[in-house]
Amino acid sequence: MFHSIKRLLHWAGGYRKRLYLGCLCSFLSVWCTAIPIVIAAWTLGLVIADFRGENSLEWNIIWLSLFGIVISIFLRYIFSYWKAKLQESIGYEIAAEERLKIGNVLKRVSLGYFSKNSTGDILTAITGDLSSLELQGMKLIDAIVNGYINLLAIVIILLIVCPMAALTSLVGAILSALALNGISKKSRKNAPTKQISQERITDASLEYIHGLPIVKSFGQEGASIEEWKTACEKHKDINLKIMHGFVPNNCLHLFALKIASVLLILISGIFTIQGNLTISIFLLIAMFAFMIFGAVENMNDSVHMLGLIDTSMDKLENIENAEFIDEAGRDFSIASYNIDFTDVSFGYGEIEVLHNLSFQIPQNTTTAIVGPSGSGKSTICNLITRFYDVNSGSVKIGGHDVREFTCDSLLKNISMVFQNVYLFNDTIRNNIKFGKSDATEDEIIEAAKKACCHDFIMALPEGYDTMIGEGGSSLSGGEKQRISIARAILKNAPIILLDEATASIDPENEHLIQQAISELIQGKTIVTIAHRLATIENADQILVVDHGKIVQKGTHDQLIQQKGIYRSFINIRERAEGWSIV
Amino acid sequence: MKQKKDKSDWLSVLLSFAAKSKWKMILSMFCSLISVMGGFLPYVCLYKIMQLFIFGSPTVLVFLFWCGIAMLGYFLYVVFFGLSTVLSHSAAYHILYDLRMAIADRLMKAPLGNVTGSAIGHLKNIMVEKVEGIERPLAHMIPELGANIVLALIVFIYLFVIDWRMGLASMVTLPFAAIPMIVSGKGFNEKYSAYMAANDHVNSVIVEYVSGIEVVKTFNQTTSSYEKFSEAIRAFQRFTLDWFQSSWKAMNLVMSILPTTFLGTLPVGLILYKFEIITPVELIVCLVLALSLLPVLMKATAFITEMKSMQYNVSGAKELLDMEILKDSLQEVFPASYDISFDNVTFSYTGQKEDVVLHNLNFKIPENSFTALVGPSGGGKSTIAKLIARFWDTTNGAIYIGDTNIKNIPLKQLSNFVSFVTQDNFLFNCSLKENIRLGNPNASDEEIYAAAKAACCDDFITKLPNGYDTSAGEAGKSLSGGEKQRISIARAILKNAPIIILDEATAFTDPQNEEQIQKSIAALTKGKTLLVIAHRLSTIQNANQIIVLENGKILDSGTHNDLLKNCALYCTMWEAHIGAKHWAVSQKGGC
Repeated sequence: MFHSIKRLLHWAGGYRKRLYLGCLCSFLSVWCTAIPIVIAAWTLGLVIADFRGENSLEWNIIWLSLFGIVISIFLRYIFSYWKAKLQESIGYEIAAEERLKIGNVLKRVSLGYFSKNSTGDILTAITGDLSSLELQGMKLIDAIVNGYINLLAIVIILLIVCPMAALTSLVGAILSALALNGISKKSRKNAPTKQISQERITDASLEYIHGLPIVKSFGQEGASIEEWKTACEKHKDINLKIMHGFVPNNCLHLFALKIASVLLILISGIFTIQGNLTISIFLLIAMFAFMIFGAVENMNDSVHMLGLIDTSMDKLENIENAEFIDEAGRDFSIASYNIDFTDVSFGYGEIEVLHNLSFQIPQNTTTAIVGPSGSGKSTICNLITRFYDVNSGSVKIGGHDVREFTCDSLLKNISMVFQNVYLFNDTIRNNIKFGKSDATEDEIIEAAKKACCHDFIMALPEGYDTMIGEGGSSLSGGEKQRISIARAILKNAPIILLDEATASIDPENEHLIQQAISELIQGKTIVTIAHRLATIENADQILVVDHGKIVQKGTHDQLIQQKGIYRSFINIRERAEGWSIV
Repeated sequence: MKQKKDKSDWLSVLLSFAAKSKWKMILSMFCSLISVMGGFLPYVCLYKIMQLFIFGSPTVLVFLFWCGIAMLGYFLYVVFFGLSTVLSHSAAYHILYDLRMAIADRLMKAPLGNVTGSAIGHLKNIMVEKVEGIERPLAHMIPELGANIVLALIVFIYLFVIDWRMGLASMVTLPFAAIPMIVSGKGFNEKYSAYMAANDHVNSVIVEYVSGIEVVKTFNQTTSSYEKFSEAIRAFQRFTLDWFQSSWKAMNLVMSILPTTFLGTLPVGLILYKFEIITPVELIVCLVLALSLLPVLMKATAFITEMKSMQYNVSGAKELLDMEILKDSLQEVFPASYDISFDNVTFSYTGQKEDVVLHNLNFKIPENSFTALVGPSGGGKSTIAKLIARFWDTTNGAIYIGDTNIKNIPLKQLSNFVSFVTQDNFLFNCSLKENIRLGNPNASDEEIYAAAKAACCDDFITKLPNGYDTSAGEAGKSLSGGEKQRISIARAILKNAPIIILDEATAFTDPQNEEQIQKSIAALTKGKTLLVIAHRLSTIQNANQIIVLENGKILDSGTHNDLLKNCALYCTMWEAHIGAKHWAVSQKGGC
């Protein structure tokens, strides 16, 4: 339990000073809470004296007590407000910084990181886990650290009036802490089980929603509800089991504190009977006994959460400590853009997908990579951009190994047009501007015109301010493709990697896409993963990749003469492009 | 007024689900009541002890007796509190389970188009997260709220019995605390949903950033130069801090005033004593009772926020539970033929006139013929296909299969008549064999293998380590898009429905697969009534009938040759298609 708290304090990082000031405010606010009780004990003593005829109760005492209570409420408000302002706000400020930081971390890791750790897990960590840390982190500190500080504040008062009572309350607190620690340990231990069940129910809900059209169109409603039902049932059972596991410790924790309360009264009562304490002090301790553990009592809810928060912190730490791919890189510019692969071998995991590849792509030429799916075509592009590192051999651009660069200085030379167009849920202008963040409006429009986008963009009611994606305008696949090309044109990088769409997106658009691409690639070094016959036939160099090796290399005219993969590939393509259903 | 209605609505939804766990909840409340009463006992003892010390001559034995009773009271308090939470959590999780099942059921019965029209993430969020968010407040409120109200009432009544002025004095903090509470409570619901929306927005921006990480890398963006990202995060931070600043002010004021019950009871008690209206004993009782109200009042403030979050989450679930149900007919029908005809069909997603996407369509697709829909994207091609499969009902007009309006065909039967092959090649996480068997649950293994062979799946499936028994999840990584496509075609072949609707599904595949997909489609469509949403005109040039759609209206129809002669739009499309086939990357171009 205390270990997790220490980590949370550490998480607060630069804000720790504010955190401690908040704790001080909390301490002072407890004393303000105690004032009305002290006043009550004191006036009750006077009432007793008055009743016994020893001393008479003055009116001004009554007004004084009222005044004291009002002041205490006021001070308590001031201190507790400042506590919240100093402490609770920290979580939101750190979370914002962390979000920005993690975004930059993820940009600099190898893409292999995302498959190794599964994008889904990373996303859960930086959305779900970070959100709950943001929301709960400081509340937990408040509940636990301030909880014990509150206890301490009262114990200090007790120490002055009756050391034995102070000791008793400490023993109660320690016993309860043992039970709480058990809860924290269990919570930590249960966190993975809970998470697995959470993942299962999430997966099941996605499968259920995604599969709805299929089960409905095949009239098989029963098929998909089963998994959802089991997942929900398991989820219920596991959570109940975890919940029930906490109950004994919860009860022990509460009972330890309650016994301590009664013992406080018992001890101070016996002292009073023996004549070692005055009645007023006894009344004070007796009333304190009922409020001293208030904050500690409610800690168990927070401790339940501690285990979960702990795992959340683990996950975030893992991401923040991810290894940068360009740790050793330098920033520099290059003069030429020849691409050289020398003896390159690479695998995403244990299985090697590229074997001893060597080839050159001269500056300002077009190279088409062809081959069956899974042969390693996209992998070649991924190595040029250094999304991954080679296992052996080297990839050089302009005579420099890609590993010498920082990501930024390498990628400023390269533009990619992906097959699966990815546009952000943002305006069209900002999506194009993504290619060059300081582009002027004229440059953006110029790029859009070259990519044959300008006309259709202007035809939209909101023009360049039209939102793309959910809740925005639905553009056709071809239009999106051209916006992504405009983005690449704006970047104006000397090397272009082009993953060609495998089939036309819609017939009317296709020639526009081709025009846009022609604009993009003028005078550049082009590497294209090609599917269309026309593209392949006109390339300066064709690399035929099969099973991670280059099996043929040459121009179309050379290769079509040879027997081999290339010729049969071209034959199949020709048939497919002219296919008709009947 | 409207808000009030909302309030009772979400509660009644919740209560309707609680009925099944009624006994658990009642028992839980009962335990909670004993627990709260047990917790009250020590206050009685405190009063007795104080009386003993002030006015009697305390003996150790009597004193020990009262301490023992207090201990017993706490024992009851703790034990029954434990019992009550066990019961209430169990009831709450059962309610959650029922809620989730009811939502799933409603999604199944709603028009499919409405379901597929919502973002999957949004639906998942409700089914998983929002429903889960109900548990904690529900489990705590069921038992504790009732018991605490009962206790507070008893204490107040007792105080009134002693002296009505003391009763009023004990309540003096209520109005003072109510003012900031009401002020800050105003607009809370709006603020809360704005907060949740801002939070969702930040998270969706992050998801976007990570999904597009390749693009982010390629274009050298940092989180701070990518304005949308940094702005979303900063805006969220500003929003939350602003809101919480103001709510901290109010909440801390409430928390400072409300539990200080001595504010009224002490001075009023002292004054009443001074005028000899109450005895010192009564004064002590009142102070002890006021002390005992403290935990109750603290709980009450906590419940207010929990109640709000519960309301928010239940309203989310209600959004799905209130989805409209697609009317199903029970009367089995026997259509004379499998002709499809559209009779004056108009359709709008919202039912509103200005959102109409299909305008008064009339056409007929004869049995066993091949019809193609072509036209610019957004023209309504796939909407037509979805209307035949009854993703939605038409806004006006009717669709007939044979001579039967499809609204009168039971959904189960309609799904037997129509196979809809889309580009969405979703495989369930069971074996490949079971995935194909979905097409016809009664099919023998041999029939499955035959369908797989016809769809050109047999080769690659038998190469997998476990063949047909490989689970789709396991195989998922090694299957290409084209292979998944063929598995879903095999499923449709096995189903053997007389009407096939095909969203020309070849758009996402690689050349190697393309030929095989084409073969499998040929196997699927042989001898059927076929409707194809075409993307590549060469695919459908031999269709019996080609319907050209533009902006939701039929521009023209006929065979390929007819249209080349008569339809200008079709001509340009055809030329663009032929032209594009020969356009090379290294060719120079311009707009």
